[in-house]
Amino acid sequence: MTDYADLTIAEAADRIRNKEISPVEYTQALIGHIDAHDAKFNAFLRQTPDIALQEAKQAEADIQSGAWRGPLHGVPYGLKDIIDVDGIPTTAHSAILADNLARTDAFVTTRLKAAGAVLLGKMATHEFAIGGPSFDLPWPPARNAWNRDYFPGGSSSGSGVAVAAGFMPAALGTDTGGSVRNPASMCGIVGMKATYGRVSRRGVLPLSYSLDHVGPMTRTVTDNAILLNLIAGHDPEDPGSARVAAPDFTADLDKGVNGLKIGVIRRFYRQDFEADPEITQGIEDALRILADQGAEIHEIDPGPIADYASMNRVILLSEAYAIHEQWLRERPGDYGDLARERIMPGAFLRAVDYVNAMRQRAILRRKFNDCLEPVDVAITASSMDPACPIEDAEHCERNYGRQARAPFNLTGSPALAMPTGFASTGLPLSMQIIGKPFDELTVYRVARAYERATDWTSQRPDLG
Amino acid sequence: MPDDQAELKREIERAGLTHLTDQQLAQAAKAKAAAVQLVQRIPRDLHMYDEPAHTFRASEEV
Repeated sequence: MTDYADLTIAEAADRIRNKEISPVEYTQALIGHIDAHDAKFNAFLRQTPDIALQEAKQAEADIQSGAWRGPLHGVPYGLKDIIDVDGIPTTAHSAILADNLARTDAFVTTRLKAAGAVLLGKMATHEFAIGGPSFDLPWPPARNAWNRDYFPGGSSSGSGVAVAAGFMPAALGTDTGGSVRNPASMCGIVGMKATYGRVSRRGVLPLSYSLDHVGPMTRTVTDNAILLNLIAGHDPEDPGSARVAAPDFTADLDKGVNGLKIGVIRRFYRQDFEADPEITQGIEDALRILADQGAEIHEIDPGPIADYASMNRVILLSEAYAIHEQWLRERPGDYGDLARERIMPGAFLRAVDYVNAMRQRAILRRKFNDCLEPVDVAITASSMDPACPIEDAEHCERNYGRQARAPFNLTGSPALAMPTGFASTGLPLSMQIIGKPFDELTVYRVARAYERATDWTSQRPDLG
Repeated sequence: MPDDQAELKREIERAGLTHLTDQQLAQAAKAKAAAVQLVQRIPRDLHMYDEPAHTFRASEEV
């Protein structure tokens, strides 16, 4: 008997292609799983079962007639509700956009539809990808699938929960200061923020134009590479889109790490922040595993994390305030408290602050790339702590800035969040693997080598 | 209203935020404090040849 909720993209693709499982039955099974459990977790802001079944039936007909399109054909997925789907509202989880009907598909949506994938719905997010967890919005916040009393990370919270809970094997999120990697870390799944410009932002509600990334969220490393294969590539209609050919991101998955040089950035989680001891132990254990497989571990130091994090914040807030200025002037009360509070500092930043932050950004990007030059990838923490209790606002606010993700939005480097085990509380632990510009291949290679030596990505939460 | 609060209100209104409740004004005060702290980390001694990361390239349009 197939446990559809447990299938990875790779497994489903193989069985769908060989006509061992039906996309319609797969979709129906996942819809049933969602109906049985999502009321506890609020991963979905809006389910699209009619669309899903229609797409599944089309996929089945195509495959029966021999027209298999690729690994996402007939495979269900979800989209963070800031990513447009023609004819469906894109709300950003906000009263401000409650009735905002998308008129075209986002670039990534177009790619998923062309691949024959099956849209299960729009996923919960922090309000405008910045304000969460919030309880004063038209829809409730998503809750952690490992323990619903805990924060699932954000802002791509629903996407992270849905993948962890087995509601879908694939979801897309976005990442401006860590919002794919944060929920990936809190939910015990794999989340990739690729190099800036690798994936088109067209049709995605912006938070910060020069920091926004769209990223795949999956249960395994292989699945993540498969999904990035589908969504990566130059888009001439996205001004930030890189004119760099996308490789097959699965090409190096089985090459191992023998001879690779890994630079560990310990200062981020031992000096600039003092991470939770279980987080630190997870990273150090991972380094030992990789060293046992032949990797050389070197310590590298790109300078204080606050230098990177603060420039990221100045740029983010300046650009976000420009996007939100009119709404904040005309209808400030329609925002949730947290989104309004987090965006408002942008009103007090001057043009000279933004320009100088952008100048410093170029300097820090060169500094980080120089630091990475002698090694192949870097490893550091993602979150400094496991998830906080979702209704403890003070605790969650304390943890909000305790992370090492924002630097790699600033530098534009590819960065992947990888599960490293579980805390004594049963909540997931994680680390981050960072690559050189456009070298997602080596990031995936290291992640896969670690994944093969552990079983973290095969663990599933008990949904009760 | 204390002078500093009055000045903050004027500053916020100059930014176009004229529809804030008292609670939202209090948020704005916190926001200003956060912004002041943030900008302290921006270097002010950059060399004039240090260009911003987003320097426009006309050649991209060819």
